[in-house]
Amino acid sequence: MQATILSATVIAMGFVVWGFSAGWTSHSSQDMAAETGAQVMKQEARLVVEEVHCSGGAACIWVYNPGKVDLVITSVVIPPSSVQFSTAPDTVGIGEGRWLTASAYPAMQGVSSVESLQVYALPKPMWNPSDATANAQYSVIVNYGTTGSS
Amino acid sequence: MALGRGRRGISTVLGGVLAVAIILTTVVPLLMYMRQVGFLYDTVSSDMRRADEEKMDEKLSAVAYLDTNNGIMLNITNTCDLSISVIRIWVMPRDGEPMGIDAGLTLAPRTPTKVFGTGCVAVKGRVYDLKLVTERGNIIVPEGSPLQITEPYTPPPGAWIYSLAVTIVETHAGRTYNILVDGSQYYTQRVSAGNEQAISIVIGWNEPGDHSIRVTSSTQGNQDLRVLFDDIIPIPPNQAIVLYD
Repeated sequence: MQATILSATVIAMGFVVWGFSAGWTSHSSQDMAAETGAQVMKQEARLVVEEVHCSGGAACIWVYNPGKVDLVITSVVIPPSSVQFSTAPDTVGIGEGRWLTASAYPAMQGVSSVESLQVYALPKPMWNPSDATANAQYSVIVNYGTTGSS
Repeated sequence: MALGRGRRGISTVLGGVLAVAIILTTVVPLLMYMRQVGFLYDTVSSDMRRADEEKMDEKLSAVAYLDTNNGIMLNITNTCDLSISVIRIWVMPRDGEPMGIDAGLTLAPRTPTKVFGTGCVAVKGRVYDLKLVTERGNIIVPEGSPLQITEPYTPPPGAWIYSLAVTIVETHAGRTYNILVDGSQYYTQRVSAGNEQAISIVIGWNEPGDHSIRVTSSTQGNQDLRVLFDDIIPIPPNQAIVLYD
């Protein structure tokens, strides 16, 4: 009788430990998958600023995505403006080039000349439409002008 | 009694079995998963590093020029061991809107030069900057950029096209120096004071040809004279010096 109770207790505790372990494993693997996925996408992200000029009081910026992941252009900084994340950003697909929409980026408006600028891009799967600043730590920043283009 | 003694180790065995089961069903898959994730990250890092190296290794020779109809043309040569795709060519008039032309040009390694017509025609008085963009993201400015229409040079009357510099070194005070070109007096200067100065003049002609130059001094003839000649240098048309109006 005692042996049966002890066995039942061991089995019950075993299942409890098993449950906790499975939960912890699942949680850990999800966290790790998310972090690794973000790092992998950041590795795959590439952006080139091909052409910049001013027209009609706004900056015209052509960007090209030679990377392996779609990008969302989250912010454009033209000194002396500071980083301001767009709520309706442009998307640049893999291998795609396009003019950025000036109305989506306040820094591009009311500009008569551009000597240097910075473009912030985020892999599209990491962009959160309800929080434009989310995952900003994974942004790819491209310098153009005095600091060169990359 | 025998049965009770036989069940005494069951709990231990069950605990052991459960521990092994937990390890097999949770920890081992987690470790395998971690290895796979790490492998994926390493693979992607390696791929992108190789892509960056290929981008740095890309070498393209491009020369921009105007054809006889003032069309903007490019001679493009792949000078590296990688295949290069030129995806876009920018033609940017300095006083107008830039044009991005989809090139779709793939150049296999070390293949002959390809001639690419941009389809743009240069307008007189405008200056055009050009650049090429490759699929890997390199931006290349071709030789010859910026382009503009240059008029054929017509030298003004009397303009020198060919010149020769003649320098008399270590002159002596009180002497008069004469330079005769093709038998005619061309230049005379008297050194009033100071020894070991230099007199330098430039003689010019409109056309290339053979000429004789004789340098003499008033007291010594051509003795005791040190004269330096340069070679006859064709002066580029836009740098021609007007000697006579």
